[in-house]
Amino acid sequence: MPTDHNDAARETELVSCPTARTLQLAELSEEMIMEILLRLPARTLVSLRSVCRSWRNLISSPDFTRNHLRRSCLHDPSLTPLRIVCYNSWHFRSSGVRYHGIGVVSLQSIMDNPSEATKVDYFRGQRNYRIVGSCHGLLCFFDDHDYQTTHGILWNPCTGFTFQSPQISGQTFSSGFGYDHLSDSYKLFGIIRKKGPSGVEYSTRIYTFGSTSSWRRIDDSPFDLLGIPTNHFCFF
Amino acid sequence: MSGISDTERMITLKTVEGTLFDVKSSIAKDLKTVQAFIDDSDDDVTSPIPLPNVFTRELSRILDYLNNHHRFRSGIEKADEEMARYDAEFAKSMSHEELKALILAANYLNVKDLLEFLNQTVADVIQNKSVEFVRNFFGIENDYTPEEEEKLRNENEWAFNGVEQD
Repeated sequence: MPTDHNDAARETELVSCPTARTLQLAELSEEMIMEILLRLPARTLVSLRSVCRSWRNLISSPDFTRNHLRRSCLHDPSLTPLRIVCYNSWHFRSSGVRYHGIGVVSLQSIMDNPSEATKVDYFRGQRNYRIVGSCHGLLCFFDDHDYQTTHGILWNPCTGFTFQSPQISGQTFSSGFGYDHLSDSYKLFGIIRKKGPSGVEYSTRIYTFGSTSSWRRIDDSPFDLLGIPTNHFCFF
Repeated sequence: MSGISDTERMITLKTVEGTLFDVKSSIAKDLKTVQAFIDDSDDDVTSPIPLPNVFTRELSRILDYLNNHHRFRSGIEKADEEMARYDAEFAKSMSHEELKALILAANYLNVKDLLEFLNQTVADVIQNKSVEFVRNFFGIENDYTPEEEEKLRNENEWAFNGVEQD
C-alpha cells in the first residue's frame, strides 16, 4: 500500500476528529526505560537482559551498573539485598573426589521461609577456596592450587561473571579486598609467604583486577600489618 | 489555604485536542517545561501556552495529581496516609497503555515527583513478570535468534525462578 495514501488519510482523520488518538503512541525512549530499570533489583535485571539486544547492552554497560549501585546504596538497599556467604566442601567416598564450593544465599529468603530449603548459588570447584572479602556485591577469594601457588578470583554471584588474577607462587596469610575510588577498580592485597633459597620470604603485593594487570610488589610495607582493609582501601 | 490569592496568577495551557486548562502559577511551577517557557518570555504570558505533545486525558491526570499533592503537603497531620492511599488508587486506575502515555507526558512536561512515582509504579508492575510480558508492555520486538535466547536462558537459570504467571 502506498504510504502517501496512508499519510493523507491520517492527516484528514486528525483534522476532522481532534480527540481521537489516531497518532501512533510513541514508545518510551531509552532514557525513560533506564529510569525504570534502575529501580529494579539486580536479579530481575539479569533476566531482563533477554528482552532484546539493546536492553542487554544497556543493563551490562558500566554506566548503568555504576548508577544502579549508587542508587541502591543511597535510596533503596533492598535492590541489593543482604546475602550470607558460606564455604562448603563435599567428599564423595565412592570416587574419592573432594569438591569445594562457596555458596551465596539470600538472607531474606531464609527469613521468609525458615522451614523450607533455601536456594543457594554456588561457585564450585575441586580446590581450596579462602574467602577474602566482598564489595559492591562482588566476592573475592583465593584459589589455592596446592601449597605452592595461588590466584585470586572475583565472582559476581548475581550474574555468574568471574575473573581470575594471574597465579602467584607462595601462600597468602593476610589479605584484603576493596574498591579504589580514584582508579575505579577493584584491588586484591596480600602478604605472600614463600619458601625461597635462603629461607622463608615475605612480600606484600597488590593486584588490580583487569586484563593487563599483574601482582605489584610493595617493598616498603611494614611486615607486622594487623589490619585487613575492608571494602575501602587505605593506602600507606 | 483558602481560595486563589490576589497575587496568584493563572496560566492557561492548551492540549493537542485544543482543550484549555487554567492552572495556578504555583502548580505550573511543577511543570518545569512550562515554567521554563514562562521564565524565557520577556512579557507576561497571557495567551494559552500550547502543549503539542500532551493530550487532554494526560494533562487532566497530571493536574489532578499535582493539585492533590499540593493539598496534602499544605495540610496538617495524617497527610502521609491519605497521600499514600491516593497514590495507590491513582496508579491502579490506569491501564498499562495509560501508564505509559502518562510517563511520556510527565517526561515532556518535566514533572519530577510524578515521574519518580510513575517509574517506580512501572518497575513494581514488571518486577516478577516474564520476559515476554515485559516485551509486550514496552512494545519491544525480540531481536535474538532462538539459539541466542536459549543460551541466555541457560546462563541466567537461577534468575528465571520465581517468575509469576502472566
